Amino acid sequence: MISQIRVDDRLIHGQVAVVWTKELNAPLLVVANDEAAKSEVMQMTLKMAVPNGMKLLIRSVDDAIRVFNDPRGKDKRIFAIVNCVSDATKIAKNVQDIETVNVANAGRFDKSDPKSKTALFHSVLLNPQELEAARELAALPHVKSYNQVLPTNPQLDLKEALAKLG
Amino acid sequence: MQRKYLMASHGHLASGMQSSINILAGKGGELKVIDAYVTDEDYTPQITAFLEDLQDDEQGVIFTDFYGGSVNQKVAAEVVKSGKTNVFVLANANLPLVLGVMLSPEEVLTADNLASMTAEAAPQLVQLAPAKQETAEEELDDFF
Repeated sequence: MISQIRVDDRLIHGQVAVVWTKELNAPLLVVANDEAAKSEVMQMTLKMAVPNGMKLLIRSVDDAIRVFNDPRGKDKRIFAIVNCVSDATKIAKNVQDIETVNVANAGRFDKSDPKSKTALFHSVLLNPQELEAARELAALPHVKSYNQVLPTNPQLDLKEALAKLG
Repeated sequence: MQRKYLMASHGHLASGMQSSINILAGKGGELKVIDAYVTDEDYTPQITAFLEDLQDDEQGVIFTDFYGGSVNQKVAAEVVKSGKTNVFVLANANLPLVLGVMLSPEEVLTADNLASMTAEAAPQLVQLAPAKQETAEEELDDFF
C-alpha cells in the first residue's frame, strides 16, 4: 500500500530524505517520473539521496502504477514521490490502496508562464492543467489530499484550499 | 526523555547550522547556538547557562565544530566542571550529524547509538559514475 504520495518538484531532497522518511516510517521509496526513468544522471543523483536502509525504485508513472498494484506490496508501506500534481492524480485514479497525497511543493520549475499560475499554497504554484488535476484529485473519495511541507507544519486540506479560489 | 541541544563554533557556523536545521526540519528553535569569537565577549557563561538549565531527567547534547579546537576545549571543560553526566559532547559536527541526532527516535541516547550516528554522518567522496544497471525485473524482485 502507498502510505503517501508526495508531490515535490525537487523529488527526493534533504527534507524528504532525512525528515519525511522517518516520519512516515515507509522503507520503500518509489520515484514515479517519466524523465527520471529515462535519465541515468537523474537516477544517479536520486540514488545518492536515499537514506541507509531504504530501497528505491525509479519508474515511469505508468510502470510505477503497475508496481503499486503488485500484490507483493500489499502489506508494505510505500512512499511514492512525483514532481507534479497531474502525475499524483493519475496514480490516485489507478491505485486504490493509498492513505494520503501531500501536495507539498509544486510548479516552481515547470517553465510555464508565471502569469498563468495560481498560488494554491505557499510553495505550490499551479498552471491551468495542474489546477484542473488538483480539482480531480480533491474529488477522489478514497484518498485524503493536503499540503504539508514539513511534519512540524499544519496539514492544509486540498479541497478547502480549492474551494477558497472560487 | 526530553533533550536539549547546543551548538558552539568559531564564527557563524553554529547559527548557520541552526538556519539549515530550520529549513530542513523546522526545528532550528530547538538548537541553542554560540557563535564564538565574532565579538570579544566571553562565551563561557552561555555554556554554563545551558548546563545549568539542563534538568536531571533530561539529556543534553553539545555539538562543537572541531575536535581539540578552543571551543571544544572550553565546552569539554565546562561540562566536566558542572559534574553533569547527562551531557554528550560531539566534535567535528556536521549537518547530517546534527539532524540525525535531533531526529533520532531513541527514547534515551547512549554513547553507542551516538557512535553509530557519527559513523553514518562521516564525510563521503561522491562517486560520479552511474551505477551498473540491474534489469527492471531484478530491481523489482529486490524491492519487494
